[in-house]
Amino acid sequence: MANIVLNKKLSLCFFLLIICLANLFASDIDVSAYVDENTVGINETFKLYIEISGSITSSFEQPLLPNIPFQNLGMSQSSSTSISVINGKMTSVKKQIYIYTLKPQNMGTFSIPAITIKIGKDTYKTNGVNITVAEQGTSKQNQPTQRTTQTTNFKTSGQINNDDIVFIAIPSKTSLYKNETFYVDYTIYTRYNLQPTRLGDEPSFNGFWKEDISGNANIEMKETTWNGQKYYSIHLRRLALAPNKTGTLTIPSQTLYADVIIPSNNFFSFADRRSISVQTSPIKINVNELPAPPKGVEFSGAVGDFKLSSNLSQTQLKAGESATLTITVSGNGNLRQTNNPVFPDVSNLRVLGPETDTQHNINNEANTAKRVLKYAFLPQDEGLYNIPSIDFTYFNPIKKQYITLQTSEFKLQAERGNIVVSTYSNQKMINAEGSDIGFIVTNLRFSGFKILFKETWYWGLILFLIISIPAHYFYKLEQDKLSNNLEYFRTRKAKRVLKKYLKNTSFAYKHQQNNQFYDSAYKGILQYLTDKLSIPRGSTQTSIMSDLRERISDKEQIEKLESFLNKCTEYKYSSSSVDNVDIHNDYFDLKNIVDGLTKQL
Amino acid sequence: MKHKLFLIIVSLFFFSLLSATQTNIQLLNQATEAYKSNDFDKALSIYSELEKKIQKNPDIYYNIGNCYFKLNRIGLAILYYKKALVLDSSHALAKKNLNFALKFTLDKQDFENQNFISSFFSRSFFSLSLNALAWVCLILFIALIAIIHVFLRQSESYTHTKKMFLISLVVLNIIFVGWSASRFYIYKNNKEAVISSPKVDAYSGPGESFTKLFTVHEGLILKVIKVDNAWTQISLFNGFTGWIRTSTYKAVAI
Repeated sequence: MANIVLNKKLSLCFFLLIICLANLFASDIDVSAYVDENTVGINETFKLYIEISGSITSSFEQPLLPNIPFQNLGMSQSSSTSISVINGKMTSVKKQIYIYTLKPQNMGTFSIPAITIKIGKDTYKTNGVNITVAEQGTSKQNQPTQRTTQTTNFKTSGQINNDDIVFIAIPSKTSLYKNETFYVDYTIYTRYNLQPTRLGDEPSFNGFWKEDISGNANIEMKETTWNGQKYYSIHLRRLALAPNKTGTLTIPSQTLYADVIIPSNNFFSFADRRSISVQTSPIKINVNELPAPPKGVEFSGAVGDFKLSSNLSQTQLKAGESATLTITVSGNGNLRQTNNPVFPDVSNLRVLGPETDTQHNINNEANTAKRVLKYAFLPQDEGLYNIPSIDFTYFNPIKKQYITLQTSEFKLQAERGNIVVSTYSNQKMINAEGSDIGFIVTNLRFSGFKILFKETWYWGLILFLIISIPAHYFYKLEQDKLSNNLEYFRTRKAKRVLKKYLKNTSFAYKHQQNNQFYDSAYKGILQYLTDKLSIPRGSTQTSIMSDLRERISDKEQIEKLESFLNKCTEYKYSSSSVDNVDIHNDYFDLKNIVDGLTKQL
Repeated sequence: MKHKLFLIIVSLFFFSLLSATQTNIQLLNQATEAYKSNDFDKALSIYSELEKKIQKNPDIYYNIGNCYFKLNRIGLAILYYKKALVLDSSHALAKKNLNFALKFTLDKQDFENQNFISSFFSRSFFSLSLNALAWVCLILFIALIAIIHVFLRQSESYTHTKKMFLISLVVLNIIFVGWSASRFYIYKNNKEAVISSPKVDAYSGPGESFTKLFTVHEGLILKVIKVDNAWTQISLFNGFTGWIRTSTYKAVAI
């Protein structure tokens, strides 16, 4: 029983406590409705916020929108809870916001009626909101107050508005001279955490010379204020532009693709990543024509502010050397459309070049330019050459006037015998443009073509050459024999000597010269015998005959010879004529004797 | 009387010789004109006539090759360039045109696919024409004989330098005689031939009943191994051997 009483008491207390608490929490629940913009364009969207805050204990359903002339594009929600203990009394405040994105369908002024929200058993009503739909939305300055109360750095609501992410191009100048360099900075202003993915296709910059000078700078997000609003900005790109036309030129719009990161509004959901594209609006640039340059001035085409320096590599030249004049133009501006200064003619001085090297944005510094011109001098003769100064005229857009700079004058001493060796040349490689067989032979030989190895004369010549060796050899042997043995030589010569005398005798016999006949016959026979018998020449007839008798046994032959020789001695000195008959017989006798001698010896 | 007759005969002989060269020059000029005016058929017929009249002339072979090339007969063009080179292996124009014409054959003939040393050797071997070699041999031989004669004359003064001179001349003679002999052997035993038909099938034996081995096209240079009436055994540069019809190729040998 006691147990039952206790239970009844406890249950009563508990019931009372619940009623007390319910009354306590139910007392301060606040429901409100508001929009981010009261005036919107027909094509714009706006947001309707329904906020429920207070000590909510019971569950409630998502508020239902009444029938309104707006298109509901979607709903998102966020909630937060804060607990505070004041004077020992704990209060828990829960805040739930429903965000509806709405799009107007018609123009005019509309009112959103009070929205009924059921929380537990109680019913709450929001205030009504008036919306004006115009053709164009209100300017961006009319920001709803709610935005400034954002506590986080980035906006976290799911709906991105047009002015939340702005991509703009800002030119450094909008009115300038032709060929004057200016810059266009592309910056994105965002209220969201944003990551640029890529730039859209490069638009065509008509009438501009263009260079991207963004460099490899890191994309950094900076907190900035723009149009009186707090934004985060990323400087994406910097272009250097120089107009090459006059008039009104347009910098085309540029598209940027980026990812917007919307963090999760509760612990268990992931961050939302959305791809968006934003565009810059085209910018009009007014380009003025440069004023006419003063007369007699050679305008180089450079616009900006420049300095000039010049340097000659050598002032004394030896044979075969060349000097190099280096002219450096540096400063702020564009040097791409610049004409190179023309070097004036100097007699006997060959000028080659210039070899040019143009650099822009040196050390990533904007609007800096440098052009190095190199002229090579090749003196054709010895002497002192005056290298004149060269003018360089540019237009200064700040001072709005033409300024002429001059290089220094140089003197160049060249020694005798300079051989011009070109280091700069315009020579090109020869390229084959077609191929074909070679042309026919027109002046051919008609003699035909003979293979020499098949020719008889060739082998005949070879054979002759071969035979000449043994011939020479045997000839040489014979010569040696003769030179070593005089007697042998004489015996070999004997017959030849005899023949010579016999020729004389026969000549004398024919012409009836009797004295001549006997004389030569006598001499011939004696000489023949001395040679043959190897007796010293000039031996007497008797000594010869005695030697001969030892050699020849035929006595009759010797007798005959002796009588003939006697006859010869008798007649050769006699002046009296000899009978024809006599000489005729003697001629035949001589023949017989000679025949007999040659046979016997 | 006798003298007069002799004079007439001699003058007639020279006149005929002169008139023969005169007509040849006329023919040559006609051919040149025809070639210049792109009438290659006419030029070819004149050159062929000249070829019969003036036997063995590398320039005429070269010109005939050019005509065939222009008439798009690559096989015959290659054949005639080859003929010109057989007579005069240092004929630079024929060499150049042969290499050019070889690019137009359907079969790739990769003769450059040799190592450096062997290609250098073969190029040097054919660098001098047969006649140039003959002249070099003759001059060297005369020099040798001359120095031997000098030795015979001055038998008592055999100096060291003279001996070295003699030895080097002997060595040079041996080298050039050997070179010439091998070249003359190649000239006499030229087995090379060029395919003149557009497409030729090669079989494993003399007859179409044998297995078909490979197909060759006009302009391919090959070596004849054996001729057996209508069929010929051939070998290609890549080592392939087979039998083709004798009528489908033309021998390079003159």
